[in-house]
Amino acid sequence: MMVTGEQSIRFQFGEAINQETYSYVQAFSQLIIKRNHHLLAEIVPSYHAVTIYLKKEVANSSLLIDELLMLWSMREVFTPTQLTSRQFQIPVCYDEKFSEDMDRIINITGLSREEVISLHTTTSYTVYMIGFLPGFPYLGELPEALHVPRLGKPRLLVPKGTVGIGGNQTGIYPLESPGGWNILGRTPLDLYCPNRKEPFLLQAGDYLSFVPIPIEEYRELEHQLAREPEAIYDLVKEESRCESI
Amino acid sequence: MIPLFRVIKPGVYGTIQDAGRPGFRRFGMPISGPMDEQAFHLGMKIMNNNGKESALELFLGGLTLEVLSDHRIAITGADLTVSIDGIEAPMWKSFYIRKDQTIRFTKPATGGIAYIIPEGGFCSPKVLDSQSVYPKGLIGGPVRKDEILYANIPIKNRCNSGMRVEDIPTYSNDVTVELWDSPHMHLFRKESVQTFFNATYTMRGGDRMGYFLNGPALEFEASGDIISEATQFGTIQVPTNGQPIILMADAQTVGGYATIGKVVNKDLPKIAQLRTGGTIRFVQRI
Repeated sequence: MMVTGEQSIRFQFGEAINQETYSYVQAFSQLIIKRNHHLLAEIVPSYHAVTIYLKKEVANSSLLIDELLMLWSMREVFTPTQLTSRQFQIPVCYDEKFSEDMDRIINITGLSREEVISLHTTTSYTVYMIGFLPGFPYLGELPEALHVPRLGKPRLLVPKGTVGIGGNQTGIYPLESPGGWNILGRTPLDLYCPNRKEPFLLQAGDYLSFVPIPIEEYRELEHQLAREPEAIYDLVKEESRCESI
Repeated sequence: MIPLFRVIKPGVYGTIQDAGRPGFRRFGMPISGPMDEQAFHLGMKIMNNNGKESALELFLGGLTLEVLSDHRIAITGADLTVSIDGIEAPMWKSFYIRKDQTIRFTKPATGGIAYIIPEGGFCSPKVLDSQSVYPKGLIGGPVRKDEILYANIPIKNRCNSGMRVEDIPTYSNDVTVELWDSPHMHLFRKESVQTFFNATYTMRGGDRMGYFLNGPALEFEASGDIISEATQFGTIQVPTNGQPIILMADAQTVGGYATIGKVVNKDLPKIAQLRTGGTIRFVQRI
């Protein structure tokens, strides 16, 4: 635990990226949100830490910190050991038109095109955190067979909806942006849409998997969502999943 | 909605900013809001606004506005050599403007960022409960030529108010700022941290997202890559080239570079008002 600013306190739960550390991050985040302290403005959970931001400067934050640490030490008493998470299925078109770096990926991994898609789509990914761009999910863990170095020179412009892999990570670009990941496919979904009722599709702690769709379906979904952006939640087939910590 | 200004010349970079867009940082949405909160809020106070209204934030100058309705405004922050129909305009006090007048911001005399604050603020779309422009997130853009800027309310007949001369902030292009400690201090070589606190860094440019500095490169014990975690306005990131970046009002919400501290809130306006070539010295917060 460390006070990192007038209005920020950082709690760290481990030294590496792994599921155990992350389950603490999630449990602590839910506990903080549930406690709903009057000084609390918002929290930013990440792989191994949670930063909490306060509404105003407090002369002495140790009272608040003590309270939160006490709640945390007694979490088994106060909070259920079951955390609910949301599960999303993200349609992705792996058509040649959208998979610019497929040849590079095939060359480096030694897999066939079908094997690459199959590996990418049969894995369930954790949304560890959102950042870099509004709505950009940091996803883990990518199967090792799909680990491919990032491009030597980043592209100046990666289209919105691009699904890429780089090193041990995979992710989706919510906005047009520069980027150095290997481009594998594209989703017609807007992960971020400022004027939608819920502008952000995903949040930290969600799980998602990719579902391959043909280009015709991609076009259909694209048109449908342009007409009715709010339909997105019917498309991703959200379900809850519980797990214990 | 009162038509207030027509933009004749858009200037270097002008955006509508209110106090910011808190509450969405865990979704990757920066807070935004004014770069210099002090000048912004003093201006709101001068105008008798409640502080939730918006201002036009202008970098460096070059902006020319045609007044479309009689109204009342205040200009705070940097002295960007402002004139109204060729006559020097007052700063840090409210004053009346008349239809068909021309307000011209030329070039910075002191500081780099000014605020134009009408009575009742500007009228512009709200996204996620804030008027703050954040182009990268598809929320508005800088003012453009011929754009009309609207005021929320018509002029009220109130007395003008201003600030006592001795209370008006002054801006220097050579500043010393205090830092909060960073959780990544151990990643830097000890001598390097000492050098950092003894050296002078030069501001070599930047924008609302961050200011880039130049000076003795910081060195890491092993690597400066960290597991990505929260960053905020004032966080000083150190990428692999060892040259610090101070994250500003549009700060990204998380980052993967080691950080060497966070500028204390009260010193953030000093940083914000630096121009390219300005210098910074860092001291540890007592």
